[in-house]
Amino acid sequence: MNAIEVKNLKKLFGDFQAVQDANFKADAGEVLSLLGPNGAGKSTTISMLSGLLTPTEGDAYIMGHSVTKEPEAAKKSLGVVPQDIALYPDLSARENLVFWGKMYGLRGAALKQRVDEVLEIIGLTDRQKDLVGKFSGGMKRRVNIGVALLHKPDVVIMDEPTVGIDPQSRRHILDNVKELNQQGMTVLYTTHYMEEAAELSHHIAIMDKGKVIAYGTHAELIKMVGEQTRIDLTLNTEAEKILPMWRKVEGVFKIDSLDGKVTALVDDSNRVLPHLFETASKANVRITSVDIQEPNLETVFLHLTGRALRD
Amino acid sequence: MRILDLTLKDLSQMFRDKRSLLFLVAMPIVFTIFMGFAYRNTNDDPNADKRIPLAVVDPEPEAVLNKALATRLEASDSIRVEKMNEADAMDALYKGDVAGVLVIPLGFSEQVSAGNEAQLTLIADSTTAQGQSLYQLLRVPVSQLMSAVEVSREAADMIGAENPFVEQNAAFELAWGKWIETAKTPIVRTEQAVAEESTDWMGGNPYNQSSPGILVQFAIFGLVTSAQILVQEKKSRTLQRLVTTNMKAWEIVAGHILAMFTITFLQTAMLVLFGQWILHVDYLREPLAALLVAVTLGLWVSSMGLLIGVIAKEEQQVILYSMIAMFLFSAMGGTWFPLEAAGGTFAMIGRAMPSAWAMNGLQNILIRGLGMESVWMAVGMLSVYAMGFFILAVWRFKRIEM
Amino acid sequence: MKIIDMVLKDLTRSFRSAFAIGMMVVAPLMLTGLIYFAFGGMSGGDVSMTPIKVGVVNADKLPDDSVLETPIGDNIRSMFFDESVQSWIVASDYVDEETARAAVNAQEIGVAVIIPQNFSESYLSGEQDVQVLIVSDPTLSIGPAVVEDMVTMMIDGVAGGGIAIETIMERLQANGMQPNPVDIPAWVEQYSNWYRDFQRNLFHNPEKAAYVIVAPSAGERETADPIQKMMGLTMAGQMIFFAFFTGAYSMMSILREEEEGTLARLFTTPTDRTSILAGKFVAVFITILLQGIVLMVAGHYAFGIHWGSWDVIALAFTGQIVAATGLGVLLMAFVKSTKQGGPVLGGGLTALGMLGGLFTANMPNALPAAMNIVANFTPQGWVLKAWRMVMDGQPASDLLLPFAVMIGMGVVMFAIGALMFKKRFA
Repeated sequence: MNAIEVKNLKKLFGDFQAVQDANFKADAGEVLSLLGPNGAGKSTTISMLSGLLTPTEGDAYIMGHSVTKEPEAAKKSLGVVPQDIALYPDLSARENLVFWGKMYGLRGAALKQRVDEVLEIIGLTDRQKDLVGKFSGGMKRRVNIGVALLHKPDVVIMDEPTVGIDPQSRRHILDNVKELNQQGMTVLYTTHYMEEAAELSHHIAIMDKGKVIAYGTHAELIKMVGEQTRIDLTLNTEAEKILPMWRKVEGVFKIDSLDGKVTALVDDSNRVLPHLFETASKANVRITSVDIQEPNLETVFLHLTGRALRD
Repeated sequence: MRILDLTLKDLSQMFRDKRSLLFLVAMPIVFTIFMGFAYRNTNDDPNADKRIPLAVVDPEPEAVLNKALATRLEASDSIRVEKMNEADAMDALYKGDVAGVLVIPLGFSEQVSAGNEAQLTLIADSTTAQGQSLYQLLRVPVSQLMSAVEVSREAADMIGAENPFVEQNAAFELAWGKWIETAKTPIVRTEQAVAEESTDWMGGNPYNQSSPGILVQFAIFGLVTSAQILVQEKKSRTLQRLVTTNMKAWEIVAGHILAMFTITFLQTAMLVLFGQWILHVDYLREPLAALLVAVTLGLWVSSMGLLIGVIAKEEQQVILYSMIAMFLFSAMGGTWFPLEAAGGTFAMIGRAMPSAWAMNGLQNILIRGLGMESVWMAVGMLSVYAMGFFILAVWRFKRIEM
Repeated sequence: MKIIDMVLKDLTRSFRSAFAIGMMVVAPLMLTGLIYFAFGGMSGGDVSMTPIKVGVVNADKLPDDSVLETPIGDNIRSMFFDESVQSWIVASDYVDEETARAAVNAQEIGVAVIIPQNFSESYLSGEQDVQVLIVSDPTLSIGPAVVEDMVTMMIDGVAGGGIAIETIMERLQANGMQPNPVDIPAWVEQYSNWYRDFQRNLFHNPEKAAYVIVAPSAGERETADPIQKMMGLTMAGQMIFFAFFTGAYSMMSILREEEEGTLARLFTTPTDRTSILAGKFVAVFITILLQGIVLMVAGHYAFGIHWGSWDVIALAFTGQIVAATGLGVLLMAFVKSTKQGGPVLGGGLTALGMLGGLFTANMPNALPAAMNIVANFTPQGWVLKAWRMVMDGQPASDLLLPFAVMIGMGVVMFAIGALMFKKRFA
């Protein structure tokens, strides 16, 4: 049985198709990343899986339970870590966990024990009586995750949990995800950071503009790019002037710019690079740095969409 | 220039909040109209009966004293007598059809004439204006009735007639007749000290009382909107960002307080104009005096708003502190009830309140009909309070942890 | 069970919120306390009002051949300077009407009493247009009324003496007897003694007074003290206003949770949405209940308010809670965010409270009849009506109608609001 299965999932908001015919699955005990830029439809997909939104068409299954037909059974197997902190700031860490534990059906001694365990997992046993409103951002995120783990769900959905936090807390969260997965939990992890997806995932589904445009393991996705090499160039000026010229250079498959950095997919970096320099020189554009990369998920995204991942 | 930029930024934020603006504008207008009702005569129809309805329970309407009292009351311009039995009278009282029930006990005339005690009872709610008025209105004819009885007994004693009862009756009729004649010509004349002619103590317009009170009260509450801007700046850390620019602390304070003053002044001006044009409250009979009071009222309120904005950590605290300020200053300043009705200590403290001074200034213009010279004291006191709150606010502002 | 968990969670959050506690308990107690501070000391006859500043212009002089020893004007004047009134009247002399009027305008005095020249002589000779003029500050009403009363009583005393003399003389003559002028002072003294005792009983001895005013209540613990009654009505008005505020504010917690993200999180748990909503409604109900109990107990012990007997209190209180819960649910069902909720809370509830008569509870007949009719369309109006009946000592059977209306209104409002919330969230 798949832990997560999404079949032909669609969501329409008026005329706007936020999710179009999404199909992917996650085996039990694996980490599946949903990778895509902002506005790709990841959060909408997650909302349908967690019962916040009703699909326009299609269905999704959590541990075999349909989210539309058996929502309560599906939710019992599911823990959700929302992107924004969803805690009661005027309750303590412990009080938050106790309340949410009750909402997941835990009671009495079992609840108490589990709350103690979760506090240990998130490393906040010493601060359990402090009001969450007084916590730092990182600490709040830990409690935010802790709530989702209370009822030992089979599946945990984590919606961009590392956005806007410091590197140390980010590292902590990524290690937590691995640990949870090692304990047997299936994790659906949404992110727009490709390095996280690469590090954590058994499978990756890439979403863009409401569609799942690619699905597979990291290696399978990279293979889609073939022998293409990625070159990152930094210029001393805006790239708009030079891009049209570089697109005409033979051997350049795809080229795009973001935040002053130009990313190009080429067949042979040794052969193409001099032509790029020559064209730049003629246009009075100076290349200040060159970086030749092995293909990665960003390369894949660029290959599939013609746009950089962070667009 | 940067002060003005900051002020305009604050004002644009305030004006974008349409619902709060509606609250600032609509609420005081609605309140003014409503409270004006509470002070005006019940209707302006000259043909309407404005007398206070009184039920009279009289078991012996033909008895001498009963008849005399009834005749006197029925001739009154202020009381409308309705004769009923006790059950109907109490029912009418509970329903509000009458404002009071006068119970004349059985044997009243006989007992009093014989020099024994007998008591007339007025059943009425003395906490209401009508109840109190009824009590006062009945006291004079009752006192005069008893006086006539006493005189008649003295006369009968002195004469020592064979039939003292007959003599006493005759003396009573004579004395009572004299009282009725005396009552026709009031010995006391009352007049309100207004600079211009007016027909009643409101200065001719019931809104003269409610309008300034609501104006002062809502000027205080209006600072919620402006104080919240400062709190939002602290929370969003844009205030801290301002401090990192080369703008000085006093410039930041000045920019904010100018915005608060503008809002308060605009609200006050709007209420003044509404009062002037719609309710015919003549604020503009002394435009400069009204302007001075409005300006210093705005300065006091905005400096208090600044203090609240500096102290409060959250929007809800702003609302709470503003409401407490509004209640305290409104109640103690005489906007809810006249201070003359309050206890001595309360009234003494109340008169020192800036709200009381604002009311005083406005009432001098509206009700007393006085001129510029009558508002200087109010303007001075409001300025002192404004300065005091401002100093406190600046001192506290410098201690905000950035 | 989960409903109880949610109720407890909401109650915990409410009672930790300084704002909530401030608005639920502190504000109504503070307001009532202010009124108590203003008027409470007057309860039980302890008069401690602001002294009335009176200026007296006494131009009255007697001619050499006057029958009076002292001018009436002197008697009027001395009334205001008497020791017995010094605690509530501060009197001063003024040389003429102009200076007295100027003093009124300058607010140095509140009332000027102007006794014209030859007042005594003109009065005794029966001149029609002789009058004592009272000029008052137009913003005052109590002081001028008191002064007018005092002057009227004094002059009535003089008039009564005159009527006594005339009546006795005329009756003596009618009986063929010759009045002896030597006896006149004795008549006057007898009458004056009677008049003094009569007035004293009227104001200070209600058991012996010829005329008394009593409150219309019929209960065992009726209070004849008007200040007590006023405090009770004030506290009731505050309690009602803030009960409705609490209802709406508590219900606003659902909007707060929506904005915090915890409502969405609740929906991701295996807890059905009807239970989530039900938990909110129950929390609102209990919050208002607890608030009401605190205020009633505080009102009794802090301000000495006697609410009434248990059966009528239960009726009024239950109706209040149901009505406030219903209105809170209904109002918040129309609101999309906490930002919108603010003006609804502040403006909407204040307007409804106003229309319901909460702000004019102590002057009910001052409003036109139309306004009293409007009050019947507001739940606050019916709750106030019920509490008035409680304080008037009316029996429980009389409260059944307002009770039924409060429950009916509350249930209908709740039903509409709950349906709207269910449509929105379920």
